[in-house]
Amino acid sequence: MTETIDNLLERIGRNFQITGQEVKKAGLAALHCSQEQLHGVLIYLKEVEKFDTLTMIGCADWIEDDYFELSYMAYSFTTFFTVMVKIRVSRDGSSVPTVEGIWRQARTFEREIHEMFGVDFPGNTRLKEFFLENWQGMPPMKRDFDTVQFVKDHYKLREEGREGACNVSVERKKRIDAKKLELKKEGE
Amino acid sequence: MAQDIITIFHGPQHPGITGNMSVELDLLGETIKRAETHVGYLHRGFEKMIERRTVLQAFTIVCRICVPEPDPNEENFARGVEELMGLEVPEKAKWLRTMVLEMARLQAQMLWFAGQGGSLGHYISPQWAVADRDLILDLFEELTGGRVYHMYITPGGVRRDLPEGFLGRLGHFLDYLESRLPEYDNMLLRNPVFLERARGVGIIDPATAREYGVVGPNLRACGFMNDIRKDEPYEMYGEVDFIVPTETSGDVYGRAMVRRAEIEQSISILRQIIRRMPAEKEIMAVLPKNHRKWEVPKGDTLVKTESARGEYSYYMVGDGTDKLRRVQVKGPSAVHAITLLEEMLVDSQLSDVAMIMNSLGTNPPEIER
Repeated sequence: MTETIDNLLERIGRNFQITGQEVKKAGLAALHCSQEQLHGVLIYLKEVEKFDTLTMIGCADWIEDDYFELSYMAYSFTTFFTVMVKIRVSRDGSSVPTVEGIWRQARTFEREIHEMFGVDFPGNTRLKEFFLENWQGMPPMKRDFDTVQFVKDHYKLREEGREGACNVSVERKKRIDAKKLELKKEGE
Repeated sequence: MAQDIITIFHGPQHPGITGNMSVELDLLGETIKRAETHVGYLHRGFEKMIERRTVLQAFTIVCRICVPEPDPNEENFARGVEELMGLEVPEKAKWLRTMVLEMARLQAQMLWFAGQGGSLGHYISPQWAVADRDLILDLFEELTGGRVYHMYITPGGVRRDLPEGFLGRLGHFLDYLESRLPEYDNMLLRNPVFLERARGVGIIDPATAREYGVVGPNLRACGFMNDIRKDEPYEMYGEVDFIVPTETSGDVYGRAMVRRAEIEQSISILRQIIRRMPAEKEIMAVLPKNHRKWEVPKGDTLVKTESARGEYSYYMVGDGTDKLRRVQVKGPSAVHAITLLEEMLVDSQLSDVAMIMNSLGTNPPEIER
């Protein structure tokens, strides 16, 4: 029998409590489960269904509903199927045990999400500073991180030596207004 | 007398480093005992910027995520938006995209030739390869108006049709490049210095390759015949014939030979595209009239492209507004340049670091975005 992604989802559904599933396109399916089920589903995918690798761990911030959605994207080199296993975690102080023991590359993906969203991954052996240096504030990829305020707090426009520089937007508006006036006069 | 461990930084300011990153090395004599990758010198916040921009505004910056290979980023982003919005791309646009992606692979392979030779102090390689790469950039400039960043593959299609006589000029370039390959072989790949330095160095065994999620030529040099273009064909890759070259040694030499063979395959694919390019003029899907009306429905998708250095993946999330909720990028270096490199370098020689990094195709801009 030819393997289909529907068959795969059915087998996973028989073994785990799946709260939702969807075939997104040929070869790509998503399924939702609880955080408690996550490791079981991922181990099943790797050990039983031979999903050899973890393509990435996606993280999207649904600030209006107060959760992060983590998507573990497992890929099989045998069937070329990708399964996104999705869990929802709280935006503040959430903690998800690492999956580094299942796929080694998860170490780097979790490290980035930890730094950019503030999700903790207990058990990750390299959960240390990654891109940022001595960062103390809100993780910058959270949607309520105020980028404009950050720039105002940390940088300032160079004033010295630019006293004579024109304000481009003001000058441009002046030119447009002058042109309009000129056209109006010509019309009269 | 017992030797002391000394710690040095290889990069970020170092001729043998690939871009703005550094590797902290603990050395016992010339032998590396511990390696740690440091990135963060180049983080530009693209993913954050995309959250605040409309789809078409975001499209103009995705190509800048990776300097050596901007086009896979454009294609991934465009295809992700099309999947989320249900846009149907005309066939000619798909052929043009495939052509651009293969031209991009060729120029990236030439850049690899330059880096691989340069990392050994073999400076004819960068001189030849960069000069030949420039000929591809000339064609890109003619087609798109840009040499490095093209902004050509837009959501819905491509930005321009072919200029008059372009395919003929592309064909001449392919003939020229093919005639040059034996010279490249003699210059670098059969060079006794390269053979001595590259064989048996920087080995990735097949189990490690799978365990760490290695992709692209690095995976194929371990004997795996995996290529997204074959495994999950996108654009018009399902319509062209090509083989997926593999090696089994898993070392620097094996990776070089895979890349060399892939240049020939790209030339063959481009020749097929030249023969089969449709004459029709339609190159863009029916699009929303105003860029403010590009509302991406709520949903998410994962799109992948096979770049010259391996799989590029985009996780894209729409939330029903004119901006994408999330665009998360994973380039091949996220796998190759952190955990894998750190473990590969242990017990290697200091003088091999640059060569191993170049053979992996590590590129920090795509790690940091």
